[in-house]
Amino acid sequence: MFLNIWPVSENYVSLLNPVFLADLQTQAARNTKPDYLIRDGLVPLIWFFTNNPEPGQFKAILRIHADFEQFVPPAWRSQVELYDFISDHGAGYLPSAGRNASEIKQIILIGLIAPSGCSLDRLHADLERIVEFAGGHEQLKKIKVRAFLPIRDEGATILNGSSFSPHYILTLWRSLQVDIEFLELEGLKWMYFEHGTWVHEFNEGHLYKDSYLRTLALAKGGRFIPMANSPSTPTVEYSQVIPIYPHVSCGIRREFKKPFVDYLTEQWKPENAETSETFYRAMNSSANIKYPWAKWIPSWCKDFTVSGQEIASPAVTEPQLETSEVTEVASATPASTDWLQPEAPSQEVEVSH
Amino acid sequence: MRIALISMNDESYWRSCCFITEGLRDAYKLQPRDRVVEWRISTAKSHLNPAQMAKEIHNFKPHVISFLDTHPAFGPLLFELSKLKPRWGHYNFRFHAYGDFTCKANLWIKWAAWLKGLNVTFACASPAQARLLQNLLLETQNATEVCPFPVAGEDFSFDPLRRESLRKTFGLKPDDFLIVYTGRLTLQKNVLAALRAFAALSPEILARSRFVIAGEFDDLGAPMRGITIPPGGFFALWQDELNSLAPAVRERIQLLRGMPRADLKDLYSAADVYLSLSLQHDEDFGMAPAEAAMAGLPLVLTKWGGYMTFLEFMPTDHGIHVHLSENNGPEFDIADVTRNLTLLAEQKLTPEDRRRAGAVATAKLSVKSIARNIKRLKRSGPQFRDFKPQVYELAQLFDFKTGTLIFTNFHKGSTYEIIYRTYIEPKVDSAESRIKGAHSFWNRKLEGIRQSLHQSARRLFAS
Repeated sequence: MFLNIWPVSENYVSLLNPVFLADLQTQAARNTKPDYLIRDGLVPLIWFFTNNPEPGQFKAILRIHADFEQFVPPAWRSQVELYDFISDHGAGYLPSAGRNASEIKQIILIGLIAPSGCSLDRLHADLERIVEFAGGHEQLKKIKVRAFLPIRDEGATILNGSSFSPHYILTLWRSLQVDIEFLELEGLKWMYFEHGTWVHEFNEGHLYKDSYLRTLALAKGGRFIPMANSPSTPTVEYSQVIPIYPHVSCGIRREFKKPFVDYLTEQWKPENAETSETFYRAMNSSANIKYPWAKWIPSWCKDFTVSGQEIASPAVTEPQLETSEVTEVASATPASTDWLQPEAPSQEVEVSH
Repeated sequence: MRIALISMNDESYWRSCCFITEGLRDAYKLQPRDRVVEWRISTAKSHLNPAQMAKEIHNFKPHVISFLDTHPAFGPLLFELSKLKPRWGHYNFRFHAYGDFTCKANLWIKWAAWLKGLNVTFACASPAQARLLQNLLLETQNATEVCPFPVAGEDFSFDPLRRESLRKTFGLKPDDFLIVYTGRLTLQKNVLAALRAFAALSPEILARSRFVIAGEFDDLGAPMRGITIPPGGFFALWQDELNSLAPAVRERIQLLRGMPRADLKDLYSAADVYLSLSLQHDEDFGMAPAEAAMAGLPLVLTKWGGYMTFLEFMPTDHGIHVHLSENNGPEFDIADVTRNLTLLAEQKLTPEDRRRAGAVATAKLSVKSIARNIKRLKRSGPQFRDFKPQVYELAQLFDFKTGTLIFTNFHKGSTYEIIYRTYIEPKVDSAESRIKGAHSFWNRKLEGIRQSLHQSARRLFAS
């Protein structure tokens, strides 16, 4: 998986020990680090907690993205911290009179063209928002639009067919209606993000959450286009703020403010429609269908031992979902489907950032 | 004279290369009485037709075909041009060589086959680079010339008002000592060593000093020594270095982002010294020191490659001697850096001193000045024979995974030492070099007095 989603999965040096869950057991067994920063999206996270509902013998602290707070089981909460990345994008410049904070000189689009990264529906919604942010198509024509969007082949499926990539690019053209300069990774790395550079990452957060591309863009001073039409985010108080990259810090919060969305038991009832839709979309996404999570994220925490001692055979527990083989379309539904009435959700639900 | 310019339409990934090409282009277009036409190659164009482009150039009948940079996309065009011959014999090819010449050895070897027998000159940004390249040419003399990269776009001249304003923003008093480094924050630029040199200043000087570092981090490492750094690695090293410093030192170090050139100009006016300890393998010139020199900033630079050029602008020599270590390649003594910073901390320059020093640099590095330099470049060069075996060895040392050369030893007689010995200045007694520097300063002063007397005499006779 890591190669398939490179370079978002690029390993970066950090004292926070960023890892993917599929690799956590091996890393933990070898490294015995006291804490790990989990880079995964919602789908592998759900698989991990489903197969490891309790920490068992595994004692390290896991740092999980704050957007997934509600999916951390109670048994884990004393061993889990929530993180978010903060950029000081306003700082580090000389004071210059007359510099317009909301000026848009260029828009840079990043992400992977892959069904498990961003579905066509989500792509379309994001592009509409980008056009709106730019002030409409006429204004967008005056803005330089660049993109680093490598194509990653995830194979043909009944869900996405074999023409996902062409449809993706066609959607880009049709929605934006401007010329796009496509970049190589080296171009993105060396590019100078002048004042007025705005960035958007196409990422639904199902497969991965901590993306190297996003961190790179933040470090270079890129400001991310606000996606949700919501009131300004309330100020978050962090227990700790740790610099991890130039001009990027990791804010860590230890206090859980949202209750657990209990997807582990058959009596699961979602607290609200938004959370249930988030779960529904994630478990019905390509990210869940494409990869063999049962094999990659087995149950291991209960009998975890460090390297040098025998590691107990992993016990695979299926989550409380009806899932399919990799190549078949699945409509993964929880055992209790009371909340899933015949009409499917009619509106796009913004997966919170 | 007709000059055909060849350049890339695609913007280079390196920001400084974009400024350099823009400056060279402007300098060529200032040529009086010369007709200059530019052809740009774009890798994005799927209908690239080198034969057609070569024919267009041939029909233009240029006296000189000048390549503004080095790019693999030039190859097919070069091949087509090498087959064409004007009435007068051969075209004259001029290549503006960059510091990464050695890293592109395999490209040059391929092109060598087409260049054989043609008139070729290499315009190099500094005497050190010119010597390096000349030493790589087989049985060919006088094939390299010096043509510094022009500083185009912004006017970097010293601005006392902006100095006062920005220093006030930084919370600096008039007597405070502001050191700046601008450029990439990377291993080979020795930014960490610069921090250590700053930390080693005496407490009295530190108490009134500030070190502002402006640039973007990269993780290039030191690939020529086989040192690669994973993403975020250099930032981790930076954090470690900062955390190892005493709090009193740490609070005097300010990290800024890479900034637009208009802001750099203000920063240079506000600063008291520009410090760069680069030992980058392709430091054939140095755009940041060039800009700082035009602001009249005293420079503390490693005596390495193109940096040595700028030290000639200064009345006193504050260059840091570099020697070649057999194990680690080029090295310098951090104490030497601290000593030079200390000397400059005790020096008080007036705005007039800054303007004068800036004028000296501007006279050598502005677009107009380089345009005059280009006019003096040879119209016809010697016939190209081939490159020396070292260039073929360089091609063998190229590592496709890292995209650079990897050297494993630096002892006398090694490929690295043979090639890069021209990047190091032989050590002289520092007192002697200061006297030499002062000598040249007084020579310039006398020259200035002579010129003003001459002008007065002309006015007197005219009246």
